[in-house]
Amino acid sequence: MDRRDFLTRLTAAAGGWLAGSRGSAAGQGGRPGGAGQRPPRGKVVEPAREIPIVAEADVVVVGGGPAGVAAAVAAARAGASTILIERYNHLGGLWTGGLVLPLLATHGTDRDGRRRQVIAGIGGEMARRLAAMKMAIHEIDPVVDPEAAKVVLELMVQEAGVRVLYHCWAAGVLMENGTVRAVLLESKSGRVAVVPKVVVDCTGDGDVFYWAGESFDMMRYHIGLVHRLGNVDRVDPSKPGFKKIPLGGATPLRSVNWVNMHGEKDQDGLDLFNLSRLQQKYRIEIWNHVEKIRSTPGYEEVFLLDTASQLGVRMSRILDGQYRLTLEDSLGHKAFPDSIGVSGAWTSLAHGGKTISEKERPSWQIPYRSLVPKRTRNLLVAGRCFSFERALVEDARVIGTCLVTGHGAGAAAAVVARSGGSVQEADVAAIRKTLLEQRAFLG
Amino acid sequence: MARPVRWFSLAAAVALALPLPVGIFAHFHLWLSPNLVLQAVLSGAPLAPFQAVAAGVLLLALRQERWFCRHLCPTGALCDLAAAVRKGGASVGERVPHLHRALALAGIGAAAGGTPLLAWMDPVALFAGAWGFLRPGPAGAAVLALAGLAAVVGSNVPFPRLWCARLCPLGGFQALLGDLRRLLRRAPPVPDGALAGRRNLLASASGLAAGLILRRSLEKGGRTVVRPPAALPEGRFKATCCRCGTCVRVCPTGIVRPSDDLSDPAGLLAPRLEFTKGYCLPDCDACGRSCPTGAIRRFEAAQKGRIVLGRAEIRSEDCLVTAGRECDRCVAACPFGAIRMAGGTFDVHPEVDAGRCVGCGACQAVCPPGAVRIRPA
Repeated sequence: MDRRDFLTRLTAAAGGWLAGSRGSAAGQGGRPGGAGQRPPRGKVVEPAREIPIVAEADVVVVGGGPAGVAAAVAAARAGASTILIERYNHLGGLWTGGLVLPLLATHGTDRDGRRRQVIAGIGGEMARRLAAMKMAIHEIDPVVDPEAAKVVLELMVQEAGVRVLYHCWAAGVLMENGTVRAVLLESKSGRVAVVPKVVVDCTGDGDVFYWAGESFDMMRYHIGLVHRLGNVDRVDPSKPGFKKIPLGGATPLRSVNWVNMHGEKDQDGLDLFNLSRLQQKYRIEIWNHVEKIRSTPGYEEVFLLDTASQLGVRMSRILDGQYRLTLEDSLGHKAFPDSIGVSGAWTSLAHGGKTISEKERPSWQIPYRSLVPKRTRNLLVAGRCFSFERALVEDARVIGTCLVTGHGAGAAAAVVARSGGSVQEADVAAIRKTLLEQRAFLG
Repeated sequence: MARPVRWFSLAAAVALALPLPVGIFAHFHLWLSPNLVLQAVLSGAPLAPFQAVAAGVLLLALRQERWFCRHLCPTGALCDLAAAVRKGGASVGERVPHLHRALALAGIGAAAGGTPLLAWMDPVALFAGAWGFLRPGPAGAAVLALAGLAAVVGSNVPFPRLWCARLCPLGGFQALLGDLRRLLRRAPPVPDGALAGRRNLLASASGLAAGLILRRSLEKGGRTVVRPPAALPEGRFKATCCRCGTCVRVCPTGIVRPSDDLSDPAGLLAPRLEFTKGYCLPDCDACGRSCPTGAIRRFEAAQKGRIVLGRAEIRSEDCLVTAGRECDRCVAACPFGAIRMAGGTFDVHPEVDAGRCVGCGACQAVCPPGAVRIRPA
């Protein structure tokens, strides 16, 4: 069907909804994020205009990172017509384009003290397919090849029948009676609208719930820029003057390493000017650093293979949802009747005077309510911006957890789209049944 | 001698010594020994509320010969059990002189001189310390902890009542009270009573001298291990600690461990902190509240940010962040905000703010590659 066939016209006072949603977010306890933190140098008024509706779908997933792909595949497999919005030219977000290659938190310790894989379902399928292609190393917290992951994710959305819109950036929402009536996209086709039954916010920064007026916690964290090195297998330690230099971590390609960057701490990941400053600074610093490596005896063949296509924004907005998952919840094998998945832990923790090593850390259930905003009736949130307390951030923000929350939100969105009603009153039993059919592990 | 109350007391002491959540009542008998409490007070430790009970015990012991031995002493009850193994004692024990008054006087003298050098000989301290074998810790320390009580109790098999009647300083303390009672009642003194022999005078004088001399010399010398918070200076700490193991027992995070380091014999069984599986909580004062001798001074939990145990040292060469790996565990774990990431993009490393770090060990305990060590202060 040609999309022109169902093109209708919506009128949007663009300036109006923008100012309105800003105000409500600030008024509800969330601190303003993004460029709003800088005092404006003046104002212009965007005239009201008509925005073409270019598509309608049961489920619209905003953001094609690990959470978004898992959500879109889950929704489509559950029978929902699904659109996935992605700003870049590939899927996988920070996992692939961001070159944050380790799929962390795949394992956790169960009640019997056994360490087992908890990332199952669609995320587990991704890991399995990458391993079968020999494009993942390590069984626990595997490191993947980014190009292979982009292909696997692409194949999975195509096989599931997800309609992917690349090269477009969600720019806002139109709210109507507490529901998202339309998601506005900025693209080479101009500003367009897609009309969802249910929206899944997988933007990482919580852009959609912010526009919808939900309250949130704004977390500043360190921001880096990952790069990869080539020819790391051609380092010659026999050269006179050789000294050992850290070259990052191994990837499935023998000659390629990925190099993490801690980056500047306490950074605002929503500030346009700040992101630009960091991007410019890191670009030069990485180049100079690699040049220094190359000028060290023995390292002449090493080269800068690529830098990530996006900054490594680790945290920004965290939803203040129906339930805020706590660190305590994650440490005591807390069982939630509405569990939509289980995640693991990848690092040690000092808690209440005791150390819990990553091998001892319990797996933790994620309740459906932590993906559900307080007010908006047709919005679910997955990925690093779902509802949890800051103490849980290290395990909540990683790829493994994003895959779990994404899968849960996608299946839930399909169930809500089919049954009608709000996400707050969703049939949790039906969601869990769908997830189990899709081989998710619910604890 | 074997009154039912004594068996009840023994049963209570054993029950309290078992690893149950009984808090500072873990070794309640420690608060009851007037010998131990007097030594602690004389050496300058503030009196804990519970220790006032010891004053009552002292009054009762003044009224009745060896009241504590007859009614409360768990070690004495065990000694009687051991003595019952063989009826009729050997004569060797009879030839050992009565040294208990001298030992009590020497201990009190040393405490008056500032250092309760013989506190560890108190039978309730020996009893409490022996239960260290129930706790996780070095095997050597467990054997050593058990050895004191085993020797005292075991000696009753060949030499019945050798310990209780002739060596025990708490027995000697009560014998001195008996001497005092006889004096007050103008009764004839016993042959080797307090006012009789030169031995007792010599013992108290030499105890006092040793306490005074050592007090000075023990001030010197730094720590090589991390001690519990508010512990006395190293030398005095080792001399004052009675090795009862109560601090080891009450520590909620299990970081207080008895030393089994043979290269420091003076410090054997004295508590030290090991940050392998835990760290010192910023709001805990359990060890300070439970120390019967004041080797760990009592402190307020609110002062915890100023009580320095040591300083964290991070070896950059082992640090994950320095190697470009994702980690900020030490920064996140520090209760005092004393660690921050410093340096530029490609020389980022955790840095310790020596002004804020108190050496609680959270960073050492959490560090995945074990790159942090607390250097004792």
